[in-house]
Amino acid sequence: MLGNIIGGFIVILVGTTLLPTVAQQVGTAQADGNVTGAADTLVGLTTLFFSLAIATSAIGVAAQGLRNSGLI
Amino acid sequence: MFNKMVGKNKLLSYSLFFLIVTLFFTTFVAANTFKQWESVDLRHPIRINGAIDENILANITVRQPDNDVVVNFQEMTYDATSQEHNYTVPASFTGELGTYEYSITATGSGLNQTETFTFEITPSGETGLLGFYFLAILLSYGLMGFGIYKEDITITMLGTFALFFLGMYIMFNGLDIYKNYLTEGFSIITLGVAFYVSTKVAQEYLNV
Repeated sequence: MLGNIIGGFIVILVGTTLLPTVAQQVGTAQADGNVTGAADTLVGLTTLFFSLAIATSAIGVAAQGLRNSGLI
Repeated sequence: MFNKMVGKNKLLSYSLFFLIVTLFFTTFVAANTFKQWESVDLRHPIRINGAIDENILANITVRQPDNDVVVNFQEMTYDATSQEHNYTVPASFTGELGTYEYSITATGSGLNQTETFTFEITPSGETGLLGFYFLAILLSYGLMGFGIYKEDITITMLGTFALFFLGMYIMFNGLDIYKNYLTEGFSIITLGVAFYVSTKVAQEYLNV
């Protein structure tokens, strides 16, 4: 249980550190116009899914902690 | 303990050794290789009878890989500091991947000579990086696969983070000298796998 919570924190820490880089690369790619069409749409979604994964991990870790302490 | 592990995973050990050797011997950056859609600064020291003469008139003609002339006999600029003639090919003319051919005609002191040179345009401005790409793909997918195999959520999540970066990198820079529908398809699939696995695995934190 504790291992999963620690792992979750590591994922959140690494994810939030990498998020600005992902957002910057996506912004650069969309601005220079070299990526077009379906690829451009998918690249636009990358930041969303990356942050969604981090947010879901955070919610999961928080819920797990609350469940372990008997609050939910 | 290490020997025991190596013994059990001989195939993996040999594969890693082969990969590292491949990476070491194949990675290099050619001097006359430039990035696609970026301007290319061509510089040449031009001498007549071994002497520097700023009055030498140099004209350049640049052809794309499909033989279209993109720069037609334009005059080069003399740089007194570096004692070279230079011409900057605009970024809009370097969209096509491959080998560009350019001819420089130098005229001065009654002499007239033309020489032809080449430069490469690749998606990333580098070449010979197949070993690097192979290792990056293997490590990214391997880390995610290892996490799934061990049923370890954290390792799987970190593997999917690597896949996000891998997908974007291949989409922007292609694979080595290649950037076509195949590399774009592979990058889209890699991003799709990263989207799916990361959101799916993140939910597992709720279930453990």
